Amino acid sequence: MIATSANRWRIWLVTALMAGAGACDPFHTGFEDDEYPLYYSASSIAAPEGSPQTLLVMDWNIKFGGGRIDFFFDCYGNRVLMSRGEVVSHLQGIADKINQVKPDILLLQEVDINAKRSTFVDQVQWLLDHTELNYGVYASHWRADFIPSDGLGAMDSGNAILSRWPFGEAERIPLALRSDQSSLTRYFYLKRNILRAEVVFTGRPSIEVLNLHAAAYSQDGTKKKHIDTFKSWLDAVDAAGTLLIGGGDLNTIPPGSQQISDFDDSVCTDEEFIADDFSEEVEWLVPFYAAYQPAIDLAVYQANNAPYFSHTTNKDGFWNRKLDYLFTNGTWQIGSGLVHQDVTTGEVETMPLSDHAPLTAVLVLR
Amino acid sequence: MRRRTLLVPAMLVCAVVLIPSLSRAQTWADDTAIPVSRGHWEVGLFAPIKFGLRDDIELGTHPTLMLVMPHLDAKVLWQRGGRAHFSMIYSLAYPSYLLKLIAREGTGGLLPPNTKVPQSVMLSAMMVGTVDLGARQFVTARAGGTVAPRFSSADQMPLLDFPFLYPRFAALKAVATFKLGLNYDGRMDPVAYGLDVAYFILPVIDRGYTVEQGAWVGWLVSDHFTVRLGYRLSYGRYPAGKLFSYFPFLDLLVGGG
Repeated sequence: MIATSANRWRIWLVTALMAGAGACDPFHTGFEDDEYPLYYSASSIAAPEGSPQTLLVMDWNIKFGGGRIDFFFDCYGNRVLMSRGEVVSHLQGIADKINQVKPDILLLQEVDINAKRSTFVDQVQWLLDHTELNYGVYASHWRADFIPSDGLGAMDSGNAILSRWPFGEAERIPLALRSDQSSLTRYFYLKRNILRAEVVFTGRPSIEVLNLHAAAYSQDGTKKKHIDTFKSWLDAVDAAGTLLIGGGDLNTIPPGSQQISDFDDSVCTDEEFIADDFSEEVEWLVPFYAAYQPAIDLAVYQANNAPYFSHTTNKDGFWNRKLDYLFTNGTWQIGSGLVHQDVTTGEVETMPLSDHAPLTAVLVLR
Repeated sequence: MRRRTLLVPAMLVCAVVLIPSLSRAQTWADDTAIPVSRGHWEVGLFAPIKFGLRDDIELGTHPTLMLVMPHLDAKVLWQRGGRAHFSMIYSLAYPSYLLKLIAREGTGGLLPPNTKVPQSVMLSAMMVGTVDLGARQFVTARAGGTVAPRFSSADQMPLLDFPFLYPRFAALKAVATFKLGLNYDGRMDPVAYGLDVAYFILPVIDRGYTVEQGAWVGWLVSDHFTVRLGYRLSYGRYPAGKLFSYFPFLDLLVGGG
């Protein structure tokens, strides 16, 4: 049959529409709602104790192994990419600190597994292979074949949980996206998540670990949505009667913080990267402290904030705000909460390793 | 936005206005070893300018890209025997200025703004052989390579790993890159079409390669104006791992001579 002119146009139109629909995620930045986390195991497994009485839990935003390089988003410098030597050197420092602490469970934020900025080193696998931890789960929050901005290029970065014990069910829980960005920027921007994973023991019930890295720079309430969603998930796990650990970089300060804005390390003038005014956020974590036991007791923190600060963007300064948390519906060993700020508090200088200091606490198992 | 909205209609108008002033085009360039005839020219929104310098030499360059990356292709007919045609395509490009332009902050920064871009040129040579199957149907095979003499070590060259650009700029980070290709082009008025597959060997990384496959259909509106709709697929081993990419395209070409 000879196609008429009208038919030819219809064929062209349908072809163009199909092509356009297929190309709506050409850089593969999207996530399925039910996308599963990646499971990892160390190259050699050290058999853990079957039924431990306590768990040493550690939380750390490791800044993708960027150490204290002055990256463009901190407004201290203009670096975007690292050399492989820099990445491995920073990861070795992080692994040395982990091996000094010897955690049983480690919550990590800002872990790259395949990013141009960190020379495509799979940092989850690298850390498993250079520490005593055996298993890992990873949920990406920033993924793209190529980000055509600032020379970032290929990206796969997210949250991870590492453990001596194997993981059972794990879940990547997608969080609200920022609404204060153009659709193009949002397409390439972070799509944050809560990483929830079940740690399985032999001889005792499993526990649930939930890891969040909340929005840092949003001006539209997205950070609050992330924190509230996180609370809802903790409540749901708690209601099921399961022992839980919830933590991460919540990117906000505790109630009763003495300084809530105008931190002296914030040098960004670009509104996109300003994240130092918490004046409207001082009550956001009250429900967490009311419902769960924090690794750092709130009264202790409020009596003296400084020993519990865990973040600064200025490598030449000192930690000046607390953004990192661990909560449980169980019981932390009294006085075990510690922010590893320096040699005095944690035997190792952590300032060169990341823009966050690690937080640890000992969980007493019921 | 207004400027962008007006761009396509304006180009269409230009094309239509230009058409009556053109002498009758003898042919549209096919992606074959056969150069366009002497005096013929054509250009598209995305397709390069092609110009028949002589019956056995075709020159090509992209008018917009030329402003930021000076480059010139020359297709030289080497031998014609019966239905078989053999050509060499030589290319020379100076990519340093373009690389500096895309090393920028914010959107459009394909390279970091602090990238130091050394001076370099890219030289390519491609052997092309075409069999004319008759009735304006052609099968073409090609093989060639690209080198990039530079005043820097390969380690210091920026890695442009953007899909589709990567295989074309990878020579900057390697001793040489290689390309093998096969395509089929045909025409049954008023429709023209093409189908191709290309394999790039990219020793930037261990076992680095990309495979591209494309197809297009064109409507020959007149001897001087044609519309093409098509796609290109790419799959390969990039520094970030195996990636699949594709884009659809619509091109408008005018020609004459």
